[in-house]
Amino acid sequence: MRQRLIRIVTFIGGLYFFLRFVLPGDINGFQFARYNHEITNGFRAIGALTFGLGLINILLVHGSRLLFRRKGWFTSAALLFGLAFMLTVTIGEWLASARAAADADRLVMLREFAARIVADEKAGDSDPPYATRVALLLKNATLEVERVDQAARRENPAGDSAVMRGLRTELHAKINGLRGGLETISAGTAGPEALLPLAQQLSDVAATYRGILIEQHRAAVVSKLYTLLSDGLFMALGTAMFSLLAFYIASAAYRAFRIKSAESALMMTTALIVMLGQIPFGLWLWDGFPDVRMWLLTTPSTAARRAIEIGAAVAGLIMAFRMWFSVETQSFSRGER
Amino acid sequence: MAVEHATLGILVLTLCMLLPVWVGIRRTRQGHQLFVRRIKAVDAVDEACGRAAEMGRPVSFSSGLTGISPVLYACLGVLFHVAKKAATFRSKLLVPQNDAQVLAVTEDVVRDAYRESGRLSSFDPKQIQFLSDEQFAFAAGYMGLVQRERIGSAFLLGNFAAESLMLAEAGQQMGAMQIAGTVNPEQVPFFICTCDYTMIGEELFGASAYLTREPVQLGSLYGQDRAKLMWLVLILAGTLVATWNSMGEVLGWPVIPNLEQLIIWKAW
Amino acid sequence: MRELHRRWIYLLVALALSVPLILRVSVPPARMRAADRAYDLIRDVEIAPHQIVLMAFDFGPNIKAENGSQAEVVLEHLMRRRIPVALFSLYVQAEPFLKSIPEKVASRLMAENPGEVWRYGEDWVNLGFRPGNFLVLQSLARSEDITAFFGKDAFANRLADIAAFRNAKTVKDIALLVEISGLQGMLELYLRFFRAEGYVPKVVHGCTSISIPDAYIFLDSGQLSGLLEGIAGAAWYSARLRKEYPRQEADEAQILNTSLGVAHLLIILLVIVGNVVAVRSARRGVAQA
Repeated sequence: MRQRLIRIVTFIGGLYFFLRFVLPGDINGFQFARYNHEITNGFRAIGALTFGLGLINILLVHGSRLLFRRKGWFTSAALLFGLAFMLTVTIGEWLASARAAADADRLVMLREFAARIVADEKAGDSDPPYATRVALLLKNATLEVERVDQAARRENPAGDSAVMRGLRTELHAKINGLRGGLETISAGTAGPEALLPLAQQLSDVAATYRGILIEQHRAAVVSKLYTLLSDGLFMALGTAMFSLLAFYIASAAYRAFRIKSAESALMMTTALIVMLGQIPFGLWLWDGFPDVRMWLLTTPSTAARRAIEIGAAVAGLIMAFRMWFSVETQSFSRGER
Repeated sequence: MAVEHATLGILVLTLCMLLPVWVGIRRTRQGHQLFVRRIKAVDAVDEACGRAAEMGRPVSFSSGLTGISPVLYACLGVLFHVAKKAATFRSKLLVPQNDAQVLAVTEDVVRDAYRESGRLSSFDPKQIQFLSDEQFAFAAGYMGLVQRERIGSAFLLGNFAAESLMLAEAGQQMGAMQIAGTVNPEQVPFFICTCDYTMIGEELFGASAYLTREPVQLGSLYGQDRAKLMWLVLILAGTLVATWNSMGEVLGWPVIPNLEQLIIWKAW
Repeated sequence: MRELHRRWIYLLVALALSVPLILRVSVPPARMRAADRAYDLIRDVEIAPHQIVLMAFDFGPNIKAENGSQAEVVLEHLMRRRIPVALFSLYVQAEPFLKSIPEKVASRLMAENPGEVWRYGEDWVNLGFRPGNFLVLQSLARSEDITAFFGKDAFANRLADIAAFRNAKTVKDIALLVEISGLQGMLELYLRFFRAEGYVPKVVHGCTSISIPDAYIFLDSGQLSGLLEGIAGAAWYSARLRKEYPRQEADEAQILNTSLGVAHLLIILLVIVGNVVAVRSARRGVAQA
């Protein structure tokens, strides 16, 4: 039963994507791929749930090793500690940055509101009335500007970095400009067109305030810790691992590149020409290496690569159809459980 | 020329590729023997498993960076065979993983292999270890695993990127017998330098059929080759048509519609 | 002559790579015709006021040496020509480079040209990392308003307010795509999905050295208009830039290329030595037998 259900779901899933490719974009007004983005995101979300599987596996393997003090338990303990620590720091950093980003969103919402008022006024939509909406906008914008001004003040500006000082100065100037704009609107003499510059001012203040929040967030302990772990440790380790390739390539070349036949001699000569055509020192020997290299890459190499790619693509396509019709799973999953 | 959507021409070509597969599967199910040329790397699979068993050392099987894709299913066919051998010889099988989705599928396949060998009680889910989905963290984990466990044989089949040389070199330094197979042509030279046997491109897809002799897989192999022949004929025909047309421009010969029209025929 | 233990090989490689870097040795690079095509295209491209160039930085710190250098030289060329550039990435590890590389290039240009200013929002805009892989490209290609599609830049500023981007409407307003990546399959994604009905933008690609044979397939078929082949391509592109815009600062791309060239020579030497040792060992073995 389980296998049958899996086959049915697999077939339906594959059928959607196949029909999406095959059917025309528009069939008498009906668009088959109308919800493609949402459906594909749904599949990806299901795939993302398997993230938990990896975590469970790590806990199973290393947790049992640690609990029963098996060989290598200390290394497993280090791994689990690192995992827990990194998870904690990442979640903390994510929450803090989300809070920081959200703080400036209210100004952006007010900006959208102002733009909407202008648009509705041009379209002749007067429900609710223009004056009511403008009054609401002014009230909320004034409150928000005061809140942002208070939040962005610092008791001890001497502790600020040059960037932060610049941002605070900029914000102060923009807030003053915004206050002037709000006063102009409050006076009631300006028309709806005056809301557009106000909207731009709100947007400018939001951008600068967000800059301050980002700088504050960067100076926070959790952000510094995250940066240290991700950029200083994780990325650096990955780069160090990648750099091992240079050494391995050299030792593998020394060990394995042997001229034992005519074909290997031809291969070695070709490799030599390509290498000399790419490095600056090849020009010292002969000026023509780059052009010969280009011909080798454009003609014989491309032909061979295309042959391999076509072969693998055809095989992949046929395998994909076998997967779609669940013909493949019969080979290594015999019978129902 | 950009083709955003299927056309009738593409559907016809796809059916032409699938028809030989269907014919091949039918023929093998009816009992016809299909010739499959020998692939040295595939012949060596049993030898590698036996060698590890004799030395009393584990076997490792890695599908590299392969996600859920046709390539994975090609690898799983070989994994099923290797797992059965490991179960039969009572060798420890290690299957380090890079992708959590693949982990789930792989565990099922290995369990099924052990069940089919009658050694389900020997199966330990901890054999299939998730290392990391980060490329070089996975490579570091694999290298450490190979050296700690002192593996006797290693299988490296699937999609690989820059970490391929690291994985293969780790096994090579342990003196393990290594069999590799990848559809990534740029990694093939690294495997050839460091592994005992290497499968290139579609040989990986054929390996599973070769080992299991399943009618479906053998039939697909038959169909794949016929499909490639079809493409070869189309490429030759296209080359001749293009040559004729370019000479015709100078010599005034009639122009033959090129094969691009076949692809975009009846676009809707 | 005995077999060389690998520890000596590792030491030689470390010296071959590090000594030229420390001494900052720079040798004129080999001529790269594919990079010439990229340079000529960017030199001659005419951008209408509503158009923009899209640069995709799809590389991480691991391949920063090659792809980062390529990104810098191409971005410098575009900035010198005052062509507005939008930067984005489908790869999360590229996010810091979307900020650091244009800032580095802009500050270098401003130091070189006092009185001239290169400003964020006017000369470049950072669209940040966009999750979704090919979905983003598919949706972008079908979008009728790419400003609305992207919405905000990496700093949450509305793109409609940003001078460099606000006039671009559809993918047809992206005059050129510069795709810089060493990731497997990334270029194919762009070539497959970054197009609209009846419109295929010109694509310049920057790849790592190992991906060069793969990229040549697309260069040969005309799907790529130019190609920067690893650090060698970046070094040649940089050499051409220096010829047209002479500057005093040391050329990082050429220094890296020189260092790599020395390592290549070492590998050639090791292969020759390895073969000599193998032949002599075989002869000694035959003689003893």
